[in-house]
Amino acid sequence: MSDIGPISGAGPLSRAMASAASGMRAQALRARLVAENLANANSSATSPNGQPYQRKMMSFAQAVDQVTGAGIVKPGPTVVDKTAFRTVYDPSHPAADSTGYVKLPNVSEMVEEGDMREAERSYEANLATMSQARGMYSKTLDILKA
Amino acid sequence: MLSGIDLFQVTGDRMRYLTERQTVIARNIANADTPGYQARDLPAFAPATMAGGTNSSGGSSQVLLAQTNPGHMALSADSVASQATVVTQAEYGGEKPDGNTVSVEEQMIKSADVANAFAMASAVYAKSIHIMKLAVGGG
Repeated sequence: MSDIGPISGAGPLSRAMASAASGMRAQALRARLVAENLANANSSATSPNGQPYQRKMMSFAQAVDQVTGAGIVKPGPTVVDKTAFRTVYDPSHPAADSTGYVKLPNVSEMVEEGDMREAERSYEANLATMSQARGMYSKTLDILKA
Repeated sequence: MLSGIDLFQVTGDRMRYLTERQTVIARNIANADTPGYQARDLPAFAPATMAGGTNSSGGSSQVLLAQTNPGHMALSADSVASQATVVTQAEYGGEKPDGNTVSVEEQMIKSADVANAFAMASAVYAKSIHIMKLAVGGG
């Protein structure tokens, strides 16, 4: 008689759900960073020496969940985009330098929009895996009703 | 007791295999944006009785690779997921510039496949129990 692994706890379906949950958590964090970037798309400095808002970027790393042993994804450290800042000519601005140019954040609405869509799609994919694992779980329980 | 009967054993193995495969797919989808992550998958399902690993009379009903050589190492059932091999070439798309080979579309198709196969296996299992009840006379 072989030992039958549990379907809950450290069982494979729980691990599948743990992986999907970690994916959703990471994508939600990515969506948050996109929102932060968009909210600060025009946050310039208030003095000529100051730096405007720098675009934040998400990084991902694979990891293993200590409790369930599931292969999960872990949000890596948030990194900042090193691209050059946008500049506009506005001598009246408090942050304008001696030549009259103001540095604006290196946030591009188009890029953020694309990033947001990608995060949304990945989130949906993780959600679909989660509900499929849940479906398999409940089908296993349905055997009891047979 | 039930696993002594071939039908239950094979269906049980099939369901166990499918849950493991779903775990591997979930891991792939979770890591769809991880740089350098290689998509994994399990080898195709082979019932233990067919793989020549064990017998059907109360023996181990684990999904195992056939051990055709004394030098082959045995794997326990809970390490089936560790047999997950890296898919050499993604069927759709291919490698992204960051070295990631997960195609979400491909994983979704596989995941739906697994869910359907599991529904079928569990239906067969439930039906077998029903037949068994008929045989016993409980109706």
